[in-house]
Amino acid sequence: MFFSDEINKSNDKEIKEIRDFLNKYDVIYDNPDKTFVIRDSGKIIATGSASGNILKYFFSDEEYQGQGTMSIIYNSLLNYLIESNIPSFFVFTTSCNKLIFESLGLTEVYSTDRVALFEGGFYNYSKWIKEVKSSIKDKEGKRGAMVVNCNPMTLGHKYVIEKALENVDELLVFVVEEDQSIFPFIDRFNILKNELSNNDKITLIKGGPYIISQGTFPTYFIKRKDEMLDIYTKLDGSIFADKIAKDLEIDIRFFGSEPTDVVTLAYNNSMKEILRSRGIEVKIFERKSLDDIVISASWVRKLIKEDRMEEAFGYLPNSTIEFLKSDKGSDVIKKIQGE
Amino acid sequence: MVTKVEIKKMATAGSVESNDILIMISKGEGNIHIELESVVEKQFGEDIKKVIHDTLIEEGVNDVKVIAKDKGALDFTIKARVKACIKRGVES
Repeated sequence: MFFSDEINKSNDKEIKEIRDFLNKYDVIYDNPDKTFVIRDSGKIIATGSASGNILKYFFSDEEYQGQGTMSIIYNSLLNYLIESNIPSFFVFTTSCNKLIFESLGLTEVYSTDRVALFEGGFYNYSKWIKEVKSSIKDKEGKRGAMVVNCNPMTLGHKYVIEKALENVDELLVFVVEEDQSIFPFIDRFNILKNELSNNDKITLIKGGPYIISQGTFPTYFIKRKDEMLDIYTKLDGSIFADKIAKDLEIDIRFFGSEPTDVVTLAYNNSMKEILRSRGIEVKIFERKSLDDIVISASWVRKLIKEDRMEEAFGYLPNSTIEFLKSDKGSDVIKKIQGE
Repeated sequence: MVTKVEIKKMATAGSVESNDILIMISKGEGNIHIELESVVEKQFGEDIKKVIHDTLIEEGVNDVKVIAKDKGALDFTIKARVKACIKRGVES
């Protein structure tokens, strides 16, 4: 009978032990929130960790496989999550581990040939999609979709949204929900809402956990770094094409062109291919320029950082300017300038 | 008359080991809602749900969401896990 122990993060010896164990699998331990291990005569034989709502680093010594070590680790992690008030969680893993996670009672969200995404807890994809469905009207004519982060919303975003509207009868705008951006989700969402409120062809939708951002996609189980983007895009694109677009009857997805960032460009291109292969139309709009400068949220953030506010306002719609002038807005400005 | 017991926070009990059941509970939406996944769902799904449901009622819980992952637990195991889970869910 095995028992799981927590790794004491302030104990250098234990940290070294877990580092060495994971090293055997070419995995770098990047200080997750919580790590459990199982030991046999003091030696680590199995492990699993949690970072936020993502479970990862599931490894078991070959010699001990098939003895239920993973379910012991999983149980400890589950208790930790529930105690920390995290109601639902994800596991990213390689496709060959599918059976193990299925047997732990987790539900598969999607698998590609390289990676599988599982979820567990109180919330799941079918609940999310049901909520989204009930928030949108019955489909009339052509339905388009966009995914935006809007950190913060610029005239460039507004332009792409307006261009997209010319092509469809209704437009679903998914706002990336993860708070990895300097403008908090709720503010990004409200700015869009204020700016677009007079148009009933647009429905704003909280992106939920199923619009996966690169920020949350753990890559430790992918050995070759150059394959990472491709594997991630395939998962993100397939979930959108085979699940979200299908369930919400989306006919076309819009993107803004990417003139500068190579990574985003590669992502967009591979996304295009995936969507087209599933019969979803793709349209890419040239980004709007002003005085030879391509408008982007990162450019606006740079201006804010250098305290060139009037210049920044030139690239922003009213709702964003209003936000920046509010108390909450000045907190964000301070945060940007303090970085 | 059983006194009404209110679930205050999420809680778990049990495990996904063979012959056990993992129970997760959280505040309900005004009723008892049970989601069950079991290796013997076809044969005993409804019976397992009934054991969970009856145990909740016995303990005075009627507003709760339950997620259960069953690995072939016997009735008294199920009962014990549900009771333990409720105890953990009412502590604050």
